[in-house]
Amino acid sequence: MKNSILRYVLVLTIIAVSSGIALGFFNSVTAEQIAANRRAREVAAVQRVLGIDQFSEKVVDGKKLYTAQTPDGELVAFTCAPSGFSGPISLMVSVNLEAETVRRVVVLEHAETPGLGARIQESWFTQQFAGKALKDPFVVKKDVEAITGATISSTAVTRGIKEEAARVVALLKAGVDGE
Amino acid sequence: MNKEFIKGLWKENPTFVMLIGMCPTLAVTTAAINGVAMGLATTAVLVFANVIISSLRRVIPKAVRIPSYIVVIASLVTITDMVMAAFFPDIHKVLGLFIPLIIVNCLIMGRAEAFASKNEPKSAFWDGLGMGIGFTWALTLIGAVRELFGAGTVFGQSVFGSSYQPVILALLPPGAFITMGLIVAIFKAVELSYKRRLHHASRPVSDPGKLSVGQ
Repeated sequence: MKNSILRYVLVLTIIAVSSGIALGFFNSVTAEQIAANRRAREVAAVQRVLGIDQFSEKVVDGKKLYTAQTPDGELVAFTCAPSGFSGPISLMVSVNLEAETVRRVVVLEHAETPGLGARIQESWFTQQFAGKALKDPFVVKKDVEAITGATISSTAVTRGIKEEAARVVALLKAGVDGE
Repeated sequence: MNKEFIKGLWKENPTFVMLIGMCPTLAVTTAAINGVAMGLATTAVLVFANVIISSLRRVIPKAVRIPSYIVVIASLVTITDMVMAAFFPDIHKVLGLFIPLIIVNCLIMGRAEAFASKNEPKSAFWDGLGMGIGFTWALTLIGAVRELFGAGTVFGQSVFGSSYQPVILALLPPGAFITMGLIVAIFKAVELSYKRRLHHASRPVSDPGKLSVGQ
């Protein structure tokens, strides 16, 4: 009896240790490529939302911001993840700091219902935020057109943009005053 | 081609006959391409898991076989996840959430327990490959049907044209159950009619019982 328990422990230990070694090996082989892929995706999203290839990054109060100088003024891009109908909706938003308007909105990831909430990705929906003043009310069915049958998703995106944009602009202003 | 490979394709098809591994089957099949990708990822894990578990079948004591299988399968799934994230980032982005689910796919545990632990690595390899491909085509078929009705496309290619009004139900979770049920029903009907024909063919043409009634 005692022997068999020792054998169980031994076999399980050997299996677990060899699995650990295999995992470590594959992690060392793939980690760099995975990080590079993630970075490439991030850069592509920032470039898309800023509409410009060159940008700089900074972290203000724990929030990662991407800034760029364009003829239209200084732009800042950031991510936000408001709660949608079925999980967080990951958005990347760019704001023109001088005009205090939204420049562009890109949906990065979401788990909304196909055919309903998933239509937040469609350009007619995200396009309506382009050039919208941050002072605007951002109320669905008033100054923002909602997706039929997906009011929750539409509201989540609309409020997410407004709230996070206000926070980022405030953060940047506070940073300037502090200097 | 041997019988261990063939059986998973149709006669013991994991999805349509044994009805195991339902969680990924119903969750990922919103498009044909997702079915292909999920099927192939599962096949890779299944083949390796079968071969490893079969090679270790004399080493692993019966009392600790389940934890041993889980450690082996979980490691293989994690490796698959990392390899896909590194080299197939686009597919990984779609399937990212579902790959960890392969660990609890009872298809893999089921084959480990029912086949790999009792047979040698060579048969276990063919069994895993056959079951994996059987699973892949089943998922692809369900995905294609749901995509066809839910979006009017198959593999992203438009089938019904732009005037088609998609039946969104097909893409929603209930659509998975409905599609799955209908396909299993068709599968059963085909199998039954095939068996009946076989049965008729094996009988002598002049059935003495029938003749006596007729006379």
